[in-house]
Amino acid sequence: MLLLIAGCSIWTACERFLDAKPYSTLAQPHTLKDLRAILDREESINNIYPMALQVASDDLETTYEALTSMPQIFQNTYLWNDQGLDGASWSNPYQAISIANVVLEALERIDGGDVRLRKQLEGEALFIRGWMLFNLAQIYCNSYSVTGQNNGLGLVLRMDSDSEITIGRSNLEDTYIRIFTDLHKALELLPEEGEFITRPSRLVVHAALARIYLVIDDFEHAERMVDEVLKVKNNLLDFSTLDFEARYPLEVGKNTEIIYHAASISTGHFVANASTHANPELYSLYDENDLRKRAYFESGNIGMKFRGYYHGRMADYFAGLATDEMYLIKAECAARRRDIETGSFYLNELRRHRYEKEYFEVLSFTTDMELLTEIIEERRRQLVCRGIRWLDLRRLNRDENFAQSIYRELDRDGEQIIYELKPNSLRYVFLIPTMAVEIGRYEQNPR
Amino acid sequence: MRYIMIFVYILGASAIAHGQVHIVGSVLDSVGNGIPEVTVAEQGQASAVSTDKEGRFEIITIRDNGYLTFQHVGYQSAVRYFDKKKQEIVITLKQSISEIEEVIVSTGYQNLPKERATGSFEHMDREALETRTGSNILERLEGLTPGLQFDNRSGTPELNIRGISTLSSTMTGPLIVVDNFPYQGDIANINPNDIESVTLLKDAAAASIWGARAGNGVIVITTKGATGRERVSIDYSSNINISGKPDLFYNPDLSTSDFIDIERFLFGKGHYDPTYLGAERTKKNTIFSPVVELMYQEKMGAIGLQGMETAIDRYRNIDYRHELLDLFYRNPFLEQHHMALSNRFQRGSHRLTIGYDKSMGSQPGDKSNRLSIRSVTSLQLSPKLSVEGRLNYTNQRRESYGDLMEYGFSPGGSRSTIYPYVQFRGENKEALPIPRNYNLEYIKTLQDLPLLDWMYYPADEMTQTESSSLRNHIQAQLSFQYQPMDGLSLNMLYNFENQPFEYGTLRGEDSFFMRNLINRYTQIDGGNIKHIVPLGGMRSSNIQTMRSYNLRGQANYHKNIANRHEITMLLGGEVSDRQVDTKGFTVLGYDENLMISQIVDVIGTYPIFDGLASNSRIPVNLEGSHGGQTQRFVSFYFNMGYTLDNKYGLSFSTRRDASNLFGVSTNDKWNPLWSVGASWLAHNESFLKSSDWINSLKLRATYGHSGNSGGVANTLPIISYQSPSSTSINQWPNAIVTTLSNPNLRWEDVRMMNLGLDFSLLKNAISGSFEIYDKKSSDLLSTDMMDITTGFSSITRNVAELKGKGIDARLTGRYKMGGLSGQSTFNFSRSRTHVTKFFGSNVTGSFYAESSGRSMARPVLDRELYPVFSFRFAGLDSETGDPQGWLNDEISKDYNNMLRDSVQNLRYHGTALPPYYGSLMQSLTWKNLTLSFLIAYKFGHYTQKNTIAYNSLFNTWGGGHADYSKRWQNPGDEQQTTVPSMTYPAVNNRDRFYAASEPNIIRGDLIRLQDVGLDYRFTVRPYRRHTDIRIFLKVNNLGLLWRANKDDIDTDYFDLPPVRRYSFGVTLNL
Repeated sequence: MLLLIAGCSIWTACERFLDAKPYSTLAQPHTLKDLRAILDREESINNIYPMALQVASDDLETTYEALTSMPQIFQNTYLWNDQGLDGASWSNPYQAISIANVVLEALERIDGGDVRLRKQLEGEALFIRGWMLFNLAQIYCNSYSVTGQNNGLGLVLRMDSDSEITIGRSNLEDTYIRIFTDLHKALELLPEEGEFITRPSRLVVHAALARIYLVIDDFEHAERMVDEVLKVKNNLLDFSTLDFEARYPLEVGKNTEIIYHAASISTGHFVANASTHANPELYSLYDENDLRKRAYFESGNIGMKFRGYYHGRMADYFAGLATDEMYLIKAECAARRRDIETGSFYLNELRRHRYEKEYFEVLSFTTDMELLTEIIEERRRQLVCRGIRWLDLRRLNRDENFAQSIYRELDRDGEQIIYELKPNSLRYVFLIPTMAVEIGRYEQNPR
Repeated sequence: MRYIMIFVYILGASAIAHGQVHIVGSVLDSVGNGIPEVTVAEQGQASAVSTDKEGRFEIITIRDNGYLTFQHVGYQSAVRYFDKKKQEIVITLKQSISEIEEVIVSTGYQNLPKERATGSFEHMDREALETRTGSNILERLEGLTPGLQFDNRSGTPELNIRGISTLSSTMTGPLIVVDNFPYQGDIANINPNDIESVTLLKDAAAASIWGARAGNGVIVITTKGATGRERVSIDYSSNINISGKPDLFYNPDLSTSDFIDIERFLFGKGHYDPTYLGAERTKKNTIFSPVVELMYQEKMGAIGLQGMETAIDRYRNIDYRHELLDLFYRNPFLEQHHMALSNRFQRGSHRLTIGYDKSMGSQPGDKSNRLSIRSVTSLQLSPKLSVEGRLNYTNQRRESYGDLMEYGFSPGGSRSTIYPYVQFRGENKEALPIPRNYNLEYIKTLQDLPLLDWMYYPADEMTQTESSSLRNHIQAQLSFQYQPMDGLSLNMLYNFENQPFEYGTLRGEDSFFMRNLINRYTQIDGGNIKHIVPLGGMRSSNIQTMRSYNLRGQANYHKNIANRHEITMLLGGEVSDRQVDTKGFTVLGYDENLMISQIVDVIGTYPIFDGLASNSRIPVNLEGSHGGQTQRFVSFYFNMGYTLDNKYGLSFSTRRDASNLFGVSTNDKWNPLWSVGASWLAHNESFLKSSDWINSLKLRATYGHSGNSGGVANTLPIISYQSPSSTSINQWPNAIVTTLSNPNLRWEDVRMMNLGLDFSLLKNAISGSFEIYDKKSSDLLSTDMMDITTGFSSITRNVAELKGKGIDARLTGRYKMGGLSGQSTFNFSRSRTHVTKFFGSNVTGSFYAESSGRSMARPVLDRELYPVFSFRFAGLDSETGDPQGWLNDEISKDYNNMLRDSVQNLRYHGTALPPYYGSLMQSLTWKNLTLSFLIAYKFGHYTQKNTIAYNSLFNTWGGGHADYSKRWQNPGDEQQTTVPSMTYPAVNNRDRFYAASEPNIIRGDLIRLQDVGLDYRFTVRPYRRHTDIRIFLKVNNLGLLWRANKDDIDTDYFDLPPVRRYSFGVTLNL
């Protein structure tokens, strides 16, 4: 009897008793606060940019001995001999996409809450999804141009957060449609300027779109986007004020050019290796008095060692957006429409902030081609180790005036081995990682 | 708690006695003489009486029927049934040496005679446990019983009963029950001297009463209550243990001379140039050995060639392990003292024990002590109501020097281990600096700056960092038993545990850690010195509090109908709640004496001294951390047993559990489990009863399910809040998405069938048991690979099914030759578990070959758990000494692709968990002297041995191995060796391939002499009382008697094998 009573009372209390959380930190995304916390995780949202974008470009070089001591994926990426091993370059951006989808799904489930916060969260999630797709497309898809034929496979356009994926790869056209849909929708939802450089805002989306339009040769839209950015933020950092004695002269808190903070992870094996150094051809592009020579480089055992991480943190390249790039996009767009005056103005504005006052000379140009060539070279000088050079190589290879091969030279016990990446080579498109293909059965990129 | 005890006493004092059956009888020895002072007690009741000089006794029970137990030192205990019709009992007790015990086993819910049980129980009584030494009760069980395996490879024993039935490494261990409830504290709290018995529940019928937590078997520990004669008795025991220093020379490390030769080789190749001659900052942050330093100095002309050679040759004779042993290791010492007072009186009993252990670990400063106090009181309040209260308190204190130099020290500065000719003290015994984190030559140049001394002197560092912990465990248990009518008893149990655990570290200002931290954040501007990290120490404190409550209500029913049908039933329900809260905080600028600290800025970023690193925040988590865990269970259970004519037994048991699994609707939290069993006591059949050579023969069979809780589906993603990392730009809370929605998970289920035979022959000269079992674990949860396009690489799924088959056997022989008597017990277990279904995906071959036998996280179809795989090896290249393997059935040196080969193409050797194991326990007694030893054996398993890894050796100094001396050097060497040649630059994947290839797999089979002991027992009679005295000497871990491998490897341990331990002790019972 006693037991029966005890049993009954236990039974009724049971349900609530068993609803206690096993760990106090666990939650399911039920509130806007939860969603805010998910999107504020820099390790999952901001610091996930693919290693391949930097390691495959011709900014930095390394030696045979150093290369052999690096993990396999760095060797493969560096020599454009991709074997589908680099899972992280694919899965990290896709994780951010999953997180964005978790937020979008939760917003449909959660009723009420602060309307402005709801809009902002939705806008942030859409920006992250679109922007990650764009970054992935630069590694795993053919280059895309508004003026050309856009063949080939696109990305897996994941619109939910299920743990099983049933869709395959889209085509390239649809991938870019998705990117633009997400980013333009984000523009409608986000506030003008974010409080923090880690969170997206309209300013950030405009800057991102400026880069995207430039990459797809849509200079008209690119310039429109840059103008939107520069209306809100147009300051440049005077390099003569930098402390060149510091370990890293640039610093995330003091670099006022940064619009959006983003970085890669685990690129360190390559960039931080004692033998990894700047491409000598790149280093030779700087004038004697160019302050970037001192801000970006220090002498190493082999050539010049790069240290000009735009966020002042070693090992993982800066993958975010900053005003310096906006000036260069503006200048290029102007040059493309043959407006030499505007183009050289923005180019010189940027250069003025990169020299000591007494050494600065204004450059002037007679033809738009001269100006364009100088801007492209200035992009190399300014945007080192930013994950942007790879994008430039891909887009400029479509233009026979700028197309170029890039090389890796390795000295194996006196034997010279040279690797060449020809313009528009199939190797500009990486293999989808085997780990994804084996389970998802995605169509692989051609070799 | 004090109030509860007072309450118990008051109730006890007001109790009135009403006997229901008056039993008289006598206890005789085998010759027919009465045995005096035999304790006669009604089973399950606290009160007891003793026999008189003629062996007669008289007892008034409170129930109509039940069991009486008879106990006396030197005689086998016995149990006899009584009821109203059987009020006179004459019983013959046999001397313990020649009689099988009538064993009472405990399931944690009920006590039942082992004879009546259908399930598989292993019972270890006090005497068996006393043959072993050690301060942890679990340690003492090793080798005592078949079916219980100790996997000691990682250093901390992982127990499994009858193999492994789950794939989640955190759930492989058996459930440990102490005095009715799963023990929530640290098992080291329990003093082995307080243990009465340990019962292993091995099959479904035995364990299923524990339901969803019993999938891996159950260990039921029962602590001592008051026993013995009806008077005050005192037990005292004391022992000391001394062990050897750890055998640092066990690992075949690279010799110093070889190490130096390799450094010179690398120097010649310019290996150090990029860091030594490169960017200043890189050089400052990299450690170079003295030999490399000397070679650069010679190259730059700072010293002469001759001077360099002499200096280098001096290093060749140094092996730092000698000095390490001298300075930083000592002989561990343990002393244990234990005293118990017990008192038995007419209406109850009381027992109080105090134990004190003190130990000194193998490194200076490492010491611990344990104080345990236990009190058990049983009272018969009235004929129908009895109560028992237990109160246990344990205080464990542990102290050690943190950051102490030890074998395997990692100096940082790009090196994972220290060079083997490092010296800690100079000629005049002065402490020498060794490199740590930075280039030592660079640090020397800073000595004139206004910084704290930045050098690291291991010999002086010893006492600078102190870690300590304090664990207080309090357990209170109260149980009431009420018997409203004949055969029915209602029990109510309440259990409470509380274990505050405080641990912390104090780093003094003079510790290297603090000097380094302060110096890194020191800013020198002309004469101005600014300390961003204040001078002083750092103190971190953590408090973890565990609280657990259990409440159980249970009804027992026992009825014997017409002396033919015996029925027992048990029905109950239970709730349990366990909560763990953690709090922690750290302060800087701490002054030990004043106990004050200083405020520091942990948000701002500051430059690091001399630009050694980029501007950073102070890398100390100061704001503290808080966390909580809650584990709740609600369970209902029913158990029934039926015996016909004392010959045929049937049992049935069922249980339903629910727990607070996260993200699951309540209905999915319930999991029902059941078991059935049958037994046949053949010796009670008329045709065997008269047999004079079969003393007992019992057959039993069971079938049933038990489970493993955890891992039930979640329909929404799960997020977990995190404190911001010190490298985040923004310092606000954030959350990780830990799991995407995972709606299709089920509970793990373990189905087991058990057949057993227990026998005792030839007047019990030979006895034993033999069991075979068949086990199927299905819906096993494991992390499975998922499409990384989701952004996640693994997810928990029900991916596998395991089938286990095995044998547990025990054979005991007792014999007498003149004055010499002996007992030998041979235990044998066979346990093989295969993955019979696997729905998950396999990862690349290198995972299986490189984690060979060390991981069970990724099962492979048709293979055993902890599979040992290796790359197929095709010998060394006769030209280059490169290791060769097989790729697509061709000899290959494509290491990258061989590492990625599929698991199907790897060579499978077997499992790393011994499928055959057991022990031989031998004791020989001559007069008062007993010699005993235990030999343990393990057969049929494999393990992967270490070898040289050139790439890590070159770059980080790790990966060195004496195999270097066996390496291929000249064509033809491939006939004698499998160790690859040394190449420059070293190729990491070449090292990896060789390390995980066939030649490095060795057989694990071994026979170990676990312990040898000598006991001397005698009785004295001071003050006219019997006092039994036992003096013993025991040696543990005597080493291997035989091993299958030729490399002198003790395959039971990944790391250093345990050291020999000598124990000496005395026990008194009076």
